[in-house]
Amino acid sequence: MKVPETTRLRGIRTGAVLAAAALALAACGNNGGGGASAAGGKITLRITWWGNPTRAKATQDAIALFQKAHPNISVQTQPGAYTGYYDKLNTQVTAGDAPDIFQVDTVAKYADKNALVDLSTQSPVLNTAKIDQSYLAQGSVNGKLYEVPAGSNLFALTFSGDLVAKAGLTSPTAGLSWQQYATLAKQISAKKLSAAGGGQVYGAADDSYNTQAFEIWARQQGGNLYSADGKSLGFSKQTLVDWWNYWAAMRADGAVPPATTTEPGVTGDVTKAPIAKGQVAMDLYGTSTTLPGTGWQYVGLPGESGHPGAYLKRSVNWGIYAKSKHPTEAAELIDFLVNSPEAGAAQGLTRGGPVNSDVLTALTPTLTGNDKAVATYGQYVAQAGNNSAPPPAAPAAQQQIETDLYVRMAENVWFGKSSVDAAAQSFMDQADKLLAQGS
Amino acid sequence: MSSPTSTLSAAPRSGPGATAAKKAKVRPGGRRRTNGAAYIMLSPWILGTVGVLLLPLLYSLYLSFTQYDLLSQPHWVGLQNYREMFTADPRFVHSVWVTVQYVIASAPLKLLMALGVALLLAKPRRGQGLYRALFYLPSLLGTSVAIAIVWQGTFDVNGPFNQFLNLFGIKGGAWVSDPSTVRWVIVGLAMWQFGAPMVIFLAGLKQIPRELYEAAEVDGAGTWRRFWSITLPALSPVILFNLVVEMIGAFQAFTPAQLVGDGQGGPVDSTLFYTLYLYQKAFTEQQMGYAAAMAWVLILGLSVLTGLLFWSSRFWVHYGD
Repeated sequence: MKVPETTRLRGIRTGAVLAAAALALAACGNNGGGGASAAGGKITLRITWWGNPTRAKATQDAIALFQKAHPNISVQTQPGAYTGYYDKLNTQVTAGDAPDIFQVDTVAKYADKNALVDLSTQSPVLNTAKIDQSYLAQGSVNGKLYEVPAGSNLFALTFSGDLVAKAGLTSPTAGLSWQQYATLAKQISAKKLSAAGGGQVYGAADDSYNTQAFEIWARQQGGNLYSADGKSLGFSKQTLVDWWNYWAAMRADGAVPPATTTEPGVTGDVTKAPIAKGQVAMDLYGTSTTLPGTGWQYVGLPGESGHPGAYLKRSVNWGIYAKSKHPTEAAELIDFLVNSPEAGAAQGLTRGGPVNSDVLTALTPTLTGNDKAVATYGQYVAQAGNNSAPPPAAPAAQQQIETDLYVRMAENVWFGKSSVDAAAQSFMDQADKLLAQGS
Repeated sequence: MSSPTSTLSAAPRSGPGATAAKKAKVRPGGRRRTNGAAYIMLSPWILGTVGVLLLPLLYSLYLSFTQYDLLSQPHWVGLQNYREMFTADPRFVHSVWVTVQYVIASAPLKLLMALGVALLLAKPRRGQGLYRALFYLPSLLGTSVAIAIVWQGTFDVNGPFNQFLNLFGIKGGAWVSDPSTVRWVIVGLAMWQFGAPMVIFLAGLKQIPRELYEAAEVDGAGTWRRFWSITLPALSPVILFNLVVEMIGAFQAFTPAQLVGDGQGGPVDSTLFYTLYLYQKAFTEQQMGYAAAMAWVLILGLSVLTGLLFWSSRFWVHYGD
């Protein structure tokens, strides 16, 4: 097909004009932004976090309130999914271009690399007086505060009252022993209720892959996940062997679902977890986790009598990027998000219960449904005798040990690739190596 | 600069370029001027190749001899990364094994599909353009993230595939969460993306002289005999080409492992493809030096395998004439 010369030329010319226009527009955009910041003294903050759309909306609402009160600050929000969040953040930190404020849950990793601002330098604008020391200790390295908790994530025995009632059994209460938890799970499984998503309902979820649940178990026996200096593990191999044997027996009894049902949820996508899919009635879960659906109930964990393992556990946190050009304004924004009752009302429990006690008190009467259950459980854990001192700040290798190595070793046991003893030994060896490297 | 100039001027010995060479001789100054213009025209490509390909490539070679966590300066460690890979990293060896198994399963199966469909589509019939487009379509979609996620859902324990099996009273397993079956789900995803090799096979089939088939038919050769003695040998150069391309592609498979598996190589490292492990090392564990070394081992390994394929071709590839 031959195009007449004139048409072709015209095509080229149109293209050139369009390209020029695009360039001009792009240039305008740059000038516009730069000009405003020079003229009006207006500064721009970038903030990023992971989470579901509800959290994104609530945070954006709270930030809109902040912007109304601070017309000279404009805030760019960059919400994302957990998958790939840290990959992206790490790359941005390397490039020296991370957002001013980011949601984070591994303090030592970034503090060790000097990527976080020491928040005590911002104390004039960032008030932490109303936050329990237990929360702050988890965000401090060598006595310096690097992260302010955005919420609490109290670990609980979480269950669907609906499913337990359908099975004709009485709901679990605080003060169960691990043995009683197993027995109840077995009884629920025995009813063979059919799950909404297909298959049968099991009594409990298999938490052998879950380091947060294991942390409770280790703390009940006087240990912790890590030693105080973060250079070694804080529990013995036998503790881990006992834990995995407990779950192996649960699997053998049919109290928990087979490994192939548990597997899809191990990477941390809550919507794929058996508890979220209605495949199990009970689970050991953090209260900040937004389980889909309603009717969740929270009670004290099994095995807590005498020596509780639960503690005032923080959820995700806010940190300020060390290379931020506006650390003070960033600190102001964090202060607003954490301490302002207005912001607390806007955010609700999208990052777990508020850590500022005043905000929590103001918010509690307005809560309903799941949120109310979370707040009530929060009050229960906060009572003396229902919690113990928080663990030391986790070391930099935390993420790799807990989300990668630990899960892989648990899977090895599930799929019969290694014995409990061999998997535990392998975990201890490799974790020790990672902790020694300090990476 | 001197060597490209000499090749440029030496190349046109015959054919249409000869006149240009003659002209250049007439005007000695002109050659440089012409070449200068050529370099200016080529500069976007040269800048691109050097800046975006060559320099990063060399830098990654340098990084492979260092320890580099992205946040601090690279630190020279010599051959340590390479040594660790082969002596102290069982997951590396495992990832090689997982990938080799995948390549051996997926590349030949995909080529068989491509050849089979190409044979069906080669016969002239009404609307064959439409059929070809339809069979090519999956390749356009198949590499997308969305399809990989749908594929994973399809083979979920309560997914459509098991529901289909249920119709026949078969109880399907948890294909994706079971370490012994998840790789086959990924092979299955690769298999129907045979569009590119299919088109090349189609072109190859058209090149085979009709007379050969006519002569064979006169001699009483059946369909199978004709396929075995004419089509396959005549097509063997095309098969070699497709095999090399598919093998290299399969070794680099990343998206399906990342999305159909759990993204971390699980369950139990059954989807720990080479590139996925490389990605983990680079971006999760931030061992950029180690990851760079892995990339270079992959390049070297692929070069050796491709060389072997070419060497073996003397025994089974027949070039006409």
